Amino acid sequence: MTNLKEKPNPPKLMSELKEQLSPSFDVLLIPLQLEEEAAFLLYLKTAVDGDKLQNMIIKPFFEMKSMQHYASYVQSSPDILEIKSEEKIPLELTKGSVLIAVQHQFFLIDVKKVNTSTVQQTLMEPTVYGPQQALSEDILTNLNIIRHRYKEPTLKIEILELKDKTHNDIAIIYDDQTVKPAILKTIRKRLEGLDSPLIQSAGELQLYLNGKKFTLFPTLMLTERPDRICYNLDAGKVIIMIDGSPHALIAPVVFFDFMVSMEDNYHLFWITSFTLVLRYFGLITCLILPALYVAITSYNPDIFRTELALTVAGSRIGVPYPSFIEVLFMLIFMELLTEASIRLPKAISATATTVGGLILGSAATEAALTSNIMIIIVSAVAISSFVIPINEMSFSIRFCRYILLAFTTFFGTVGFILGFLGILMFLINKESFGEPYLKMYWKSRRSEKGVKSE
Amino acid sequence: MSRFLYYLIFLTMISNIVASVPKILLFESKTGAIPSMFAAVIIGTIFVFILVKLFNAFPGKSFPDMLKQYTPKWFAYPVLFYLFLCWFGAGLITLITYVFLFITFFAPETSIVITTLAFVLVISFGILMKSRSMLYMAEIVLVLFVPLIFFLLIKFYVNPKLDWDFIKIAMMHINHVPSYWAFGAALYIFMGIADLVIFNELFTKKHKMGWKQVLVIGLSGAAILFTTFFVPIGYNGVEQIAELTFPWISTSDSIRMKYGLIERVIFIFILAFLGIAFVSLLLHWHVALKLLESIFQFKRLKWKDKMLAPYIFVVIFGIISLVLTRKLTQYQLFSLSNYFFGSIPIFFVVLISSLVLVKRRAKL
Repeated sequence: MTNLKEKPNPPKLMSELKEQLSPSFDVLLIPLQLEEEAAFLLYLKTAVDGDKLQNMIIKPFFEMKSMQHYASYVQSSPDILEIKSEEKIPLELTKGSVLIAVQHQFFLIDVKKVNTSTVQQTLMEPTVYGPQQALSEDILTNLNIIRHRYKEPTLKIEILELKDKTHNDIAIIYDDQTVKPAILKTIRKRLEGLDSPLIQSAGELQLYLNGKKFTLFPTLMLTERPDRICYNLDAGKVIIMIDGSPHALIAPVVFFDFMVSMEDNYHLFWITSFTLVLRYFGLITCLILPALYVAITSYNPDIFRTELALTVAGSRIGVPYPSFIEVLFMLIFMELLTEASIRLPKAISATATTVGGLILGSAATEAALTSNIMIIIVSAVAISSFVIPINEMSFSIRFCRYILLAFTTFFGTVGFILGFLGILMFLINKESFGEPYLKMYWKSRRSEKGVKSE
Repeated sequence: MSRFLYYLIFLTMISNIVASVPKILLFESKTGAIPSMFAAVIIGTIFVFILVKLFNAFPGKSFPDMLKQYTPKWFAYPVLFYLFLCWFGAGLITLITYVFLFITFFAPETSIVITTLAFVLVISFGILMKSRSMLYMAEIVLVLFVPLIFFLLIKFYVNPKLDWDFIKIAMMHINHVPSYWAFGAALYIFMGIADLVIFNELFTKKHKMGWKQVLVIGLSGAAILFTTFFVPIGYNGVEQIAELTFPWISTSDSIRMKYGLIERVIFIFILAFLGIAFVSLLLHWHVALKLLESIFQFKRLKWKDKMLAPYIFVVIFGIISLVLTRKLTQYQLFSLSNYFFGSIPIFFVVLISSLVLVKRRAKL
């Protein structure tokens, strides 16, 4: 290395690129030189994997016999990227590629470093018997997980690039045999029509794919479970993944999909049926109980048998305001409690629940601000809203509860039933990518199997 | 036959109880209600058969489109308007009757405007939905409420208070000339099939209409008419039955569920029929709205690419029902429904003959 000649000049393209990317500290333009022959590397130090670069690109340069050998070595790398246009090169560099110039030829090789590829434990949808691993935040790892679980040659994966500033990859995954072409087309069209400046997570993508600004019920499902993804692939649905998010999107979905837990597939028939009935019971309870309380106490106390009516009325003795204020007051506090325990650090959230649930509850009844029965109803509602397996649906139902409550408060018992029918109608009229959101499925064995239309 | 067609038929059959049909039938219980019921079951089933067969010739087409395509304007528009009036009337009578009975038995202290408004708000939102959603709604409501109604009917039939001797006495009045008004009222239960004028658009396959289907429709129609007519008689006797304003609701109050959370069956009964009445109203007014839209197309009334005409129609529907529920008395409602039911045979004749005309012209 003593007889180092003067540095050879890098190709014009590379120095231009370097100028374009400067003054970032991590832009490196390195000449590789061995006797007469030279190659140049241009990359961003913070985006590439140093070890990989050393082993794959730099070392072989000094081991090859000639430049021609090295060029063909580089050309046959599995990570090589096609250079479509010169304008695209800076973008590829920021994504973690290295630009190599050998003998007036340019090669782009992907040596990106990913720190987010650790697979996480399931957090949102835990099961007892099912797989315990969820997805990671790296799309390639996720695709690998899906490929590993669903080994059909008909599984197709298309990669699109977002047009926003993250330039994240979006994968559209589907089973060629079962998917409906019309739905696939709609999804592609909507993805290509996205024009938001920054999309960072699957949740955000879901909002933009919805097609409408004001939506109450989710028309795509967010999931973190690979087994749910495979299950839905088999049913002919389309999965959308975005790089950097540990969740996948499933489209189209129907209402009943949100009531299915993956656990249902791993248990015996009667146990599954029992839990399903339990879940629907929870759904109904959580939706109607507050409104029912208002209807029963304020409008038609005579519906119930005498003993029960007297108990309810007796427990409200001393409560100084009408029942709808009582219900609203307790429900709001319950929501605050739920919201607080979600957002707080785990160490504090236990205190919040104790203070809120135990102390506030008993103090409120002693102060005659609410009836004992109201406390029972509020806790029943809170518990049953957690029974819904998918969190988004649980949120939507929580919101619907207030609509029903308002309708009952204004119109009484008739409003209660009509409000319920109205919510039902709203769900039935809704569509998810052209599929009706809520209708009876008589023929399919499971709700998620198949989205047949008439 | 598509299952949705059965839903259309059965919903109207069940909803007759909250549409003053029992009142009119029982009013004529000593003067020819029974023979007119027989006549209605036979003729009604034939009408259903003919209508399904006629619509089978035009799969996937709605009646207004067919009429406009094959008949001259001076014929098509009056016929469509007449049909609209019939459907609007059917919905209106269901609505007002239900509101009256709800006010009487369930919430006597609530203002009638408030109760009607609750209906109007939800219904206005409902009838603007897609026709396809309407059918799904009918299915879900039937699945939710019909088991309850079946349970109640079983309670009605097994209760020892049901006196079969009364029913036998009532059956003695079979040797009368059929009464026209009772015939019209009994024919109402077969009106559901006529919803096909709009919903035929959604059925692209031909309906199978053989003996089996005819038998199912005829027998269930007969069973429902039997229940409608004889169960109140079995509880209340023949003599004073014509005096009751809401014979079925009063009857349902004679049953107690000793160990139930809700002791008086009347409350469950009214709430279960609220669902049925609601969907029947929904279907009727949806058809009425679509018919009206086919007559008056205000193409210039637009706001952000949305046609405003349906919204205006819905507001008018709402205002009419709010005004009428306030103005009408119980007696006026009874005579109004009487005239409406009296027009049902004419309605069927008009519908069938114009369909035959369309079919002839289409073949030419």
